[in-house]
Amino acid sequence: MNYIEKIKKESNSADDYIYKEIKLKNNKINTINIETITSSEDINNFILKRISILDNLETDSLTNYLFNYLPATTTEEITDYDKLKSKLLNGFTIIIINDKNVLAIETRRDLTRGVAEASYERSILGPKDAFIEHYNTNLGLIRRRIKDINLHIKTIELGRSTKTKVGLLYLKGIVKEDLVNKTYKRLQKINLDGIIDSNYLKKYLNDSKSLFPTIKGTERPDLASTALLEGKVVLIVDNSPEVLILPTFFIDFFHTSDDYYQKPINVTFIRIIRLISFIIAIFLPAFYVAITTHNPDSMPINLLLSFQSQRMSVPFPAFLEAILMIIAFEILRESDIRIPSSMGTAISILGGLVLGDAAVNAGIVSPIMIIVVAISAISGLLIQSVEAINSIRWYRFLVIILSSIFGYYGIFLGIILILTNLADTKSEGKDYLYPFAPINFEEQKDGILKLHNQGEKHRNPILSDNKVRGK
Amino acid sequence: MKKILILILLFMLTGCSSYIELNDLAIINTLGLEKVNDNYKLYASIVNIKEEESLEPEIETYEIEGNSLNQIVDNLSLTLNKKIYMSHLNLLIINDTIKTQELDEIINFFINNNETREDFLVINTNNLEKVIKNSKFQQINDLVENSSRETSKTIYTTMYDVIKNYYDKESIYLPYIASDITLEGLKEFKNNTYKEIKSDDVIYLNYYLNNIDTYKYSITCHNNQNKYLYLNILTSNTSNFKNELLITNEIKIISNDCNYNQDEINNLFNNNLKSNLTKYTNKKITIKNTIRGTYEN
Repeated sequence: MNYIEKIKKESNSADDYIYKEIKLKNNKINTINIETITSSEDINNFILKRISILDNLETDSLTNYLFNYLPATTTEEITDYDKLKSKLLNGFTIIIINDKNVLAIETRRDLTRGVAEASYERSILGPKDAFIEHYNTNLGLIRRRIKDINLHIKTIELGRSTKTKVGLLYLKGIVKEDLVNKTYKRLQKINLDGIIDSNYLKKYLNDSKSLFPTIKGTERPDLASTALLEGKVVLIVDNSPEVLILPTFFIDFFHTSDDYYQKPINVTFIRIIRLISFIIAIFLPAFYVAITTHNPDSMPINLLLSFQSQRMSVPFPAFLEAILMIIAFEILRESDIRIPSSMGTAISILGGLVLGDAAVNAGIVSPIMIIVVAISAISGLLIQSVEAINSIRWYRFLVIILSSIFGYYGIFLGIILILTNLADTKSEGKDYLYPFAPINFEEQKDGILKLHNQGEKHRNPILSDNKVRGK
Repeated sequence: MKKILILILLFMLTGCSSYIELNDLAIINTLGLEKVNDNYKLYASIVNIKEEESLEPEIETYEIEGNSLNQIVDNLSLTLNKKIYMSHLNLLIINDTIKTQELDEIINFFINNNETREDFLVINTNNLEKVIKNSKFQQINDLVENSSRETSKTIYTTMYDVIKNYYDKESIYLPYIASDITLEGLKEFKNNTYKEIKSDDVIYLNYYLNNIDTYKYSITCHNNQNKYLYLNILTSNTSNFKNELLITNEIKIISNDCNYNQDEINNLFNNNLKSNLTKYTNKKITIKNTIRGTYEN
């Protein structure tokens, strides 16, 4: 059975598979391409027009001619059927010459959108461009920033059906080689039929049981470039607008790319605010539950009376009230993400204002609980990583349960649990709480604090042996 | 298994039972205690919350009698159908019917009640019912606190001080509030009896106890009864040595109509202080003053 018959059979004669037979005087040329992923214009202009002027050449000479003179960026000679299929599915046009020689010529159609603005990692001062779903564009966005021959890429194709191209980027001479090798070996071990997005890789590269993410995804090329310059590795996955940065430390979720474009004193202030928000996001509802159910003695009498008057008409225990409100907020948040943006405002008004006010008037929740949950929820959104926000959600529930059973003691128990969990977490073998545990005083200058230009001058010693930048 | 064991231990070793909803609390703000016919009579001011936030919380006073304090508190809890909550107790008012035996029971009650603090004010009055019903805690607290801080004419006595002095077998000094809610000095409880100390004498007691914050002092001029020397005692420290009482004062002259010089002011002030302190001590009294201000009017 020749190649064409085989493909027709295996693809079940799919509509978008285009088969063309060109009969010349002495030669027969067949072309196969998939209409939906190839550019018809390129095929017409650069392949078919050229082929039509050829005639008297022998099969091998014709193959050589097409191989060398067709104006395509990638031309490959195919010798086995599997490779033929792979190229065909990757947007190549297959040229079969006299049922003997096979060439694959790149005629990929550009199915991606243009480089757009970052959607969830917004920046005020920094660059606005963001990664898109196209591997080469994403790589280009990084290469445009790092014009260094030492920017190396190890590529691998993952996914039995999807054949997704994954690129492992690192800066040779800066990165520790074992990090590159370890990550590449892990990638090689992934055995899946499909890698649809970079997030698919996270669970295979993550060896931690912590709820906090140990791999950071970013849509910002400047952040990915900064990570490479620090000695981290970056994974670009085709069809994914988010690249992965490894390893990731806990403190990385409190840093944004804006931090390096502003005065250090302002950055220090906002980082402290982020840390406080993180603490509020997890502990505020639990603290409220603890003081209203176990430790009212720690409140000033006026506040106690205010809380008591607000809770008078609420039939639920404070714990249940807190859980109900948090779930209501999560429903609102999820619906806000899923619904079309045109309906977002309506939902916000209905959910936030109408339902909130009505719930208080109906005596289902107390106004103070709405304030507590709202502050906690808003504080949790200061961190840009979606996964980090989700982990905050679970820790919030955990601490609320503990505080409703044990009061303040439960909150401290929660703090101990979270801290031990974080201290036990590793990201690519590196301590997650670094530079706090193990402590490194030099790195504190770009931890919660940001001292003048420290981050730009020195590299993290556990990421790179090449510690001083600019040498 | 280990995790389950840890969880069981946690539940057994911690305050699971302390769970209480805010609305199930009867917050007691002020307590009044007296002995009537071998029974305790307790007045409890309870903060009654109204749902409307703008309204001031109402204070409702309950009267209840019983053999012992614990029994009274239990009865009160049953009457109100709420948990009696005394963490925010601000004021305890007693009268002269509370003697050593009763004081012992009161102290034991508060020491054994792990929810109460010992930083609330304790006062004495001659008309307990009237004082507790006609006054607010804040009014009495401000009265005693300001008087103690600004005039040194009383002593701000907390439950902690009462307990300490009781076990140290020292005199217990309680601010004395008259039925018209005015401060009338102190009541000293010693040897199972109460003795009243007038406001002006309290200053000298405070000197003896090293309790002076600040006060104003005035003397009529010896040559003109219509003119005065006004002094402001800014700070004072009393060191009680074995055979000597050493007092150091920092004094500011407010007005000196008498045109006294430094020595005259010193002598007048010191002589007055020494003569009044002899009521409290036989030790040698040494006074050192630092006087600031103009000597001539």
